[in-house]
Amino acid sequence: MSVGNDIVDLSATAGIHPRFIERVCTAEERLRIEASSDPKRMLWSLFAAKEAAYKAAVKLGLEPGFAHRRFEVSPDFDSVRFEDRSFALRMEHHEDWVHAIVGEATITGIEEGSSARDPLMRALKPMLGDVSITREPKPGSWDGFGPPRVMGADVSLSHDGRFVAFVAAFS
Amino acid sequence: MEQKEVFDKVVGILKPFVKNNEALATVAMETSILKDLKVNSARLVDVVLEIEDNFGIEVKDEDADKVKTVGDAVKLILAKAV
Repeated sequence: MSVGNDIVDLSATAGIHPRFIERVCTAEERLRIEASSDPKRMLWSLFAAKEAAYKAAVKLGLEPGFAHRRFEVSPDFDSVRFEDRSFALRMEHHEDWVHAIVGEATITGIEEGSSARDPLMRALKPMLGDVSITREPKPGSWDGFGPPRVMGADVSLSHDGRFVAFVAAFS
Repeated sequence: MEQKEVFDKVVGILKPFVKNNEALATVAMETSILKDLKVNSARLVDVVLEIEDNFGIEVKDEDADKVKTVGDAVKLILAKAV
């Protein structure tokens, strides 16, 4: 199992398209948003969970594509299903953000900033020393490169608005 | 519809979601929407929906998945718009 994460800055989520929820969520998830006492947090928790699972799925060699509805978040937010796979999920909540973690992450971190790479390298240093984060070419991906990789750890990075977040699991 | 017209409309749609305005100033067909313009994945959903509304087309998930650059979006629209 691989790790994946996604952070959403709740202050940077205003003004979504009227069909956004329909496009991103399953019918059951839409009902959960409608029934929620905090629909905004519910929506972005679902979105973060799907994005985190997407990142983990890509590292397993799957090709989910731009298809958020294919990722189904369990009602108790403890797993995300994609086709015949189930990804373990953990959510972290703060007044300003939601953070979804997929897989068994050993360390996690969130801070204000514009890049999660340096905070991740600092966090890994006590266990792995000075590490480098590499990304192999991957034609067809959003920027032509695959997910970030570190020798000795499975890692995932996320950035949204004011916040950056990282997770790592040691192999 | 002319390619230039579609390009200009696509740039107009992207503008509210772009975080890197320097890249927007020199935007071209090969400009990456996520990497160069720094549109995040949530806002990319909004971009796809705005393209549907503005051009009267349906952009399926598998079509949206292929849109990496401004040019990809322009070509997709030209292929679908009648």
